[in-house]
Amino acid sequence: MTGPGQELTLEEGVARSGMSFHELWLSQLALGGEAASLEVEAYVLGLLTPDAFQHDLIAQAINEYFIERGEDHPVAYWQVPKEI
Amino acid sequence: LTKKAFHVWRKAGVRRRAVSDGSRADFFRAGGWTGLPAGRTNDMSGARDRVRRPDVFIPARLPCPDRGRANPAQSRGLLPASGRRVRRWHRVRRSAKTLRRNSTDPKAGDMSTASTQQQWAQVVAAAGRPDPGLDRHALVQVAVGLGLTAADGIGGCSVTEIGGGGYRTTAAAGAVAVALDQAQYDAGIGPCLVAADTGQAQQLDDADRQRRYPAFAVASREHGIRSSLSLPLLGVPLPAALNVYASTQRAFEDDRARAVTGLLARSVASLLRGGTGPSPVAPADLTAALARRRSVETAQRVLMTRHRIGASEAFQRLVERSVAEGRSLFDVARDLVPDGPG
Repeated sequence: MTGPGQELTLEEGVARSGMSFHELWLSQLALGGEAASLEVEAYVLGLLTPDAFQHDLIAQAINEYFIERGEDHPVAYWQVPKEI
Repeated sequence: LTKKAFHVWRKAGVRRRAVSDGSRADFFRAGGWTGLPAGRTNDMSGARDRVRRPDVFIPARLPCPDRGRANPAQSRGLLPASGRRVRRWHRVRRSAKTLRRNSTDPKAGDMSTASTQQQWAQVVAAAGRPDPGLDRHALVQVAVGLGLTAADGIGGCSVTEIGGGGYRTTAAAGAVAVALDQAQYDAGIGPCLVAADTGQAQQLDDADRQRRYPAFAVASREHGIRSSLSLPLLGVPLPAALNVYASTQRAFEDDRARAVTGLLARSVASLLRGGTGPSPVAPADLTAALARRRSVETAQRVLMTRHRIGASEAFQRLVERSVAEGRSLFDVARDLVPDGPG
């Protein structure tokens, strides 16, 4: 598991994954998200502040990308502790 | 008054900063009259409109005039301070504090102020969900205003449009934007025109010294602009570009500055074309995503019924399981609904 010190923000997660914002939008749509593509982009860049649910939805969408590649949830959640 | 305030500031020990040598430059670096750090002004936050700029400089550690009075309890705040100078000191300190609070927090780095966030929310929401009743021109004007916050040192942001045998600036913010656009229109060439015409982004890290666009280089030097980024607005009725001009060299080498400008360009393009545009998502990808979404929603409903919780809490539980088991949330959802969709 990724240590707490290595947890990434949304922006860092997107930068490290190299995924496009459209891929991210599609992924959060699959998870049940309702934000428009530009909105998701603004949340990731910190231009808009997401609520806890929206933040965790985007974090999960980025983490899904990492899980597919063998990494374990490197992006930090708002309300889900890393170790449960 | 300036001279007096400067000496007061020196005496008050604002020199605590390691960089300070007590010069006048340091006075302004330490925040000058407003106490704001260098490079941060309050124009973007709208603070100037809300709060009157204090007319007396209050250094962070300037002691209250009643310190050292005969009764030491007064200076410790145990007795109410009194006197005209003391009351004035408190009044001005309050307004200076309000001004600082309403301006950009230096510790927040790139974080936007509340009013900037509201503007972003307005622009992004209007661009994402088109509404025929919107004043699109006003929103594009708000968007170019936001362009000034895309990176440090940005002096101008504008939208160039090519049409009717000529060029025009349809929206602009910052003092230099219109002048730099006009210099390119007069020369018939420049990064903004090339970006609009070819659909290719034009990034100049040394706008004032490059030789590709000599007229633009001259205008950049004149207006103190050292780098520029022009992004094409795709899918709009007439060829157009969003231009951002910065007084610092290589301002757009930073990924974040480019990302923010890119978001702005897509938002403006969406506003100009009325929100409709070709979706970059393949229909097959969209169908697959919607199938996965149905599976997650079904799992959420199972948890909601089982634990009598709301939808967002059910989603949180799915995330918790995904983290605990180190698996994809889609797999977790599928396990909860073995015979369900997905």
